[in-house]
Amino acid sequence: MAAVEVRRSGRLALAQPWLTLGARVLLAGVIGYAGYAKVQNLPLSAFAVKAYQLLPERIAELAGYGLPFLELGVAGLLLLGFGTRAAAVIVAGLLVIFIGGIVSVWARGLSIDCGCFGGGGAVAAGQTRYLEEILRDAGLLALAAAVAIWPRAKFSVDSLVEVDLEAAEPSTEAATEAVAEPSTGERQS
Amino acid sequence: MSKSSRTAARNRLREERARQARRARQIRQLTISLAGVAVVAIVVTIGLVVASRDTEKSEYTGSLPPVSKESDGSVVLAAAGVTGPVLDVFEDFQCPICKEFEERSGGAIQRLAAEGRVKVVYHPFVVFAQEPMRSNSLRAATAARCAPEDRWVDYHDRLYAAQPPEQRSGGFSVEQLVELGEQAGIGSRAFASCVREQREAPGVVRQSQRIIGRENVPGTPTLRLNGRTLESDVALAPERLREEIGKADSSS
Repeated sequence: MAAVEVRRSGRLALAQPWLTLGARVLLAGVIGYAGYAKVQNLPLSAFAVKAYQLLPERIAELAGYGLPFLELGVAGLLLLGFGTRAAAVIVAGLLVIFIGGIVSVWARGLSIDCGCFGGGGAVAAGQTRYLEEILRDAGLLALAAAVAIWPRAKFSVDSLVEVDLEAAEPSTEAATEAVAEPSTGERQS
Repeated sequence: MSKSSRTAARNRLREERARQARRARQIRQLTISLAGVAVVAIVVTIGLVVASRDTEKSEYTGSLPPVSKESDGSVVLAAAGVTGPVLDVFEDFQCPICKEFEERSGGAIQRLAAEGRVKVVYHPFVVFAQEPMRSNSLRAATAARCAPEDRWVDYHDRLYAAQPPEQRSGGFSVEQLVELGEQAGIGSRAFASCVREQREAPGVVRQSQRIIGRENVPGTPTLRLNGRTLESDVALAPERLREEIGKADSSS
């Protein structure tokens, strides 16, 4: 029984770097795309933040302008696997803010559109969209939390830096071993 | 004896090395995290620098070219003899992003019209189907039809400046609309009664149906330059709008 348990946890431990890699790349893709889309139309991004009516107008405008670049920067870090834990924490923070914003807007009955449209049922459509967005962001939040908790991953700049420095240590270990035990055959002196 | 002391020494050494390795790793991880955060901070700063150029609003307080109210409800703003390029502006007085558009680019458009670079055609209409936006918008657009040509642009600008929140029932009340007219220098009794009686409402409704149906305008604001719909990122950026109009001007 013990042998089987060891095998199971061993397999999970082996899979984890790949799982984190997958989560990392997925997050980078979604957040990066969101940032890229916003950066194409910065005034609209500023307007969208203002529409939430949660921040004073000037600050909302600045936040609207800064947000796309924050998203692009964090997506880049995640894609490279550089400062993975910090990047994942930032993404998680952003998602918590987004979810909070949508909940607040939903509760107040505001209708956030990136344009004004006619057609019946716009309010109902808006409400449906809010739920979808909250669920989507909650899923992304779970991914970000996972990456923050287990940041070690395959193909990351983080692991490159660690491997380089760890390679130096075994040789010093061998040298110290030689000093502590001058003759390997000897059992007692 | 010596064996146990050798073992003890080796254990101490191992512990020491492990401690140093741990500390080194922690410092490395912290450094990498800080480097990552620094990268993001730089990127965001770049963004905010870009933003500070973009947030200029385009006010225009110079003299306006002649205004002409057309029979279909549209309003032309063009210097004498200027027939192109034509910029159609489909907008709704109650639409928040139209207000944003007017704040950012409204002045630039008026300036370009004054310079004779473009013929602006305003199409204020009702895009909303639900209340209270629809009624608010209808009252405002109906009142705008009562304004005389020489005060029309001023009244139009004041309406956007005084735009009520979308959810406010009774926003753009007739009294407020009359008051805004007085602020724009329209004090005549004819204007006040035209607004109070909402005489022009059926015309606005017909115009709106035509714009949504035949002209295929899906939402507001919609800008069309010589019939070609401009993207909202161009509409909201006065510099880019100026560029597009300049290109259309030189090729006509």
